Amino acid sequence: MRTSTVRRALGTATALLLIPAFLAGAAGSTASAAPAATTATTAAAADCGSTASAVKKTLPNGTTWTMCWRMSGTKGLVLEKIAYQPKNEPQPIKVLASAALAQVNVPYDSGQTEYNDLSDIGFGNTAVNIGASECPGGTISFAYIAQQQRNVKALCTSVLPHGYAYRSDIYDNAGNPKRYTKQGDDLVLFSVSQLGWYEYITQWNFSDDGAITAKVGATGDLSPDDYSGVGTGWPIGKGNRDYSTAHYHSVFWRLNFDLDGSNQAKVQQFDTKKAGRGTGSEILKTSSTDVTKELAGSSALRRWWRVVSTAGKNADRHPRSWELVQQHSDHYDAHAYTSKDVYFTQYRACEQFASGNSDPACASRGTSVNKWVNGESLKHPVMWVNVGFHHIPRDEDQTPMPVHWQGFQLVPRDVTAMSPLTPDDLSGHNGQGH
Amino acid sequence: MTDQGECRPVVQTSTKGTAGRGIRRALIGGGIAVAATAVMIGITLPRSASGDDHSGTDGVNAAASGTPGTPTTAATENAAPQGEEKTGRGPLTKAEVDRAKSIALQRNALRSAESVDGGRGPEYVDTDLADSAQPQGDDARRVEVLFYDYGHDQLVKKTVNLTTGEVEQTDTASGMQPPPSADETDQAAQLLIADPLGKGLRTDFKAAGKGTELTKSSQLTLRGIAYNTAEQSGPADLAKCGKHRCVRLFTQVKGGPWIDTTNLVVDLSDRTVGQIAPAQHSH
Repeated sequence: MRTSTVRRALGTATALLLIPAFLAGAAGSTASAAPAATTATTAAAADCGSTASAVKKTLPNGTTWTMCWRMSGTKGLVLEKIAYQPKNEPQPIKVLASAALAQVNVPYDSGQTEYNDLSDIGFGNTAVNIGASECPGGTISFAYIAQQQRNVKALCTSVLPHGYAYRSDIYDNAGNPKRYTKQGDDLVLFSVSQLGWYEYITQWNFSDDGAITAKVGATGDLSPDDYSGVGTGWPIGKGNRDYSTAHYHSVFWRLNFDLDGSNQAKVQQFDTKKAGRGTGSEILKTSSTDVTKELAGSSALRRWWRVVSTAGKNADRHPRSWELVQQHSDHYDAHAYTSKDVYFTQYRACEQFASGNSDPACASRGTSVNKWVNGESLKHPVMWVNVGFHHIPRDEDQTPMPVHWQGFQLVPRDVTAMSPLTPDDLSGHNGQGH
Repeated sequence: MTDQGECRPVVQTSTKGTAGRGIRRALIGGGIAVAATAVMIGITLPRSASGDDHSGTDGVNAAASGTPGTPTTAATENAAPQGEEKTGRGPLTKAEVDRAKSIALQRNALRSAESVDGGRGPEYVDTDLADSAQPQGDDARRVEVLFYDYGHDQLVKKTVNLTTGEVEQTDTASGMQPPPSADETDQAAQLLIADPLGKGLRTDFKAAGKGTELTKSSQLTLRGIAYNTAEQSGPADLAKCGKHRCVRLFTQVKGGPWIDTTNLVVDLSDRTVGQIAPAQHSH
């Protein structure tokens, strides 16, 4: 089933990404500067105004994440002032001014119905209490939900292990064989929204290696009245009966960057193409294109984007950047705005939803992100990530439906000169082989 | 990366397990069931029995699924912020929402507007913190208060500076339809209950309630869904939804089953009820 494939792919994403990130750090240029072994000052909590909305957590491997959280009636969980401080960095490194969902579009294959779960209903309006057993070892925080006129146990914050950070059988500085290995952890924040029979988990994982994982999980129950036929549904009852209607979840996130404290950032697109046979293998050449104007981007083989800081460099004097990592996404080609995989638009406060944008201050600009891409210069980029999942129900999706996830990652690229989890013994290896 | 599944208890209580099997049977039966305008699906979700706060069963879950050394319940709870903040990005408090609404309407602002029930003054819709990177560049706490003017079919946004107590900006537009408020949702349900197209809902409610008639929206648990045909496909006779304020409903008998009414659209601007597609089922 596609559902389980997607889940596995997302589940292993952090581990997969760590391997190239570690190798790149080791095999980079011959710059002499190793990460300065300064003692990190204690990270200050983000200035959120209210202490109840400040999240600050130092993970077991020494990385500290700080941010502010709140609940918006429509957007649900909103994270702001997100900063990352690896153990040897003297100051928190600012990453995002804000990060939130921007749409969840759910059309049914039967052609009978469609929902815009975020812009028409709202993930904060529908936030439900998180029970103690749903947040083991964590902290549950209340927020006032205006539409419900009550305080809801809306946020779970916890630290959860994610398995290997790394493993390497090599030699220590004295030439003796040594195994370096560590387990990694994530700071995890999530809220739960109940939209009729569907329930959504809005989750953010902040890993000790700097990776940020955004994902939405859908559970609850399949729509109890959306039954269809062969081609538009899947029989979940006995024999050829009860064709539960297939449907889409196109989830959008809106990311407003604040790289190293500046909203002025560059966007680059990378493409790697075949360039002829070498003596031992195919030559692949990677080139980058500066995205200087607003962009509606489509994924392609070996294509990726990054947002590059104009205000901060790492100890190797490489500009800090954050790379968009999208796993498999089936974009929905029946709407213009869901047909693309990523958008970069020039920042406007009144552009908040990927479709169904309902801020009167932006009325003359149209109501969806595809209309905002109109050739404007990109100085203060906002990134809109679209991840589509076509859900063909299966027998196992019946009640309660096992959670199916969709999401993406933002991964540090040259934010630090080596991985922040590099053991002290090996911190002198920057830019050198072993 | 951690799968959310790790955050959940491994062992389900016998109570929940039983409920789950019940739902499964009901769901399969539901697909074959009644072909009314609104089809009753006999799902009794666990939350119907326990309300939406699962804390009552959580203790049992935690006890049943505990692995030595592994925490199974949340360690701490943080209360919601109270009172008013002058600056910062924390969650809005009840006091702030109430004050923002009052500032937005001070000096008889929007007095020519009309509410959902035809009364004088605008219909309040929502309050949210303004985006963090406002061009003003200061750290004032700004709030956006949304109203709907049913007299002119317009959405009105008042940007309120809670630090100074002033309305800084008013923006107005037609064709924009944010999620309906609880009051608008309630009004939509009243119109649906009284409408000929509400017959299926009334019939199914009576069946679920063992003979009790559905006469008022307070007998239902409701969630409103804005419906805007400028943003999605819709039939020609609902094309005015978008210019008009239209609402669909997730409908549940209080403490009982769902009744699917999502095919029905209540136009709150002209107080009519329509349907997306004639009711049809493949069984």
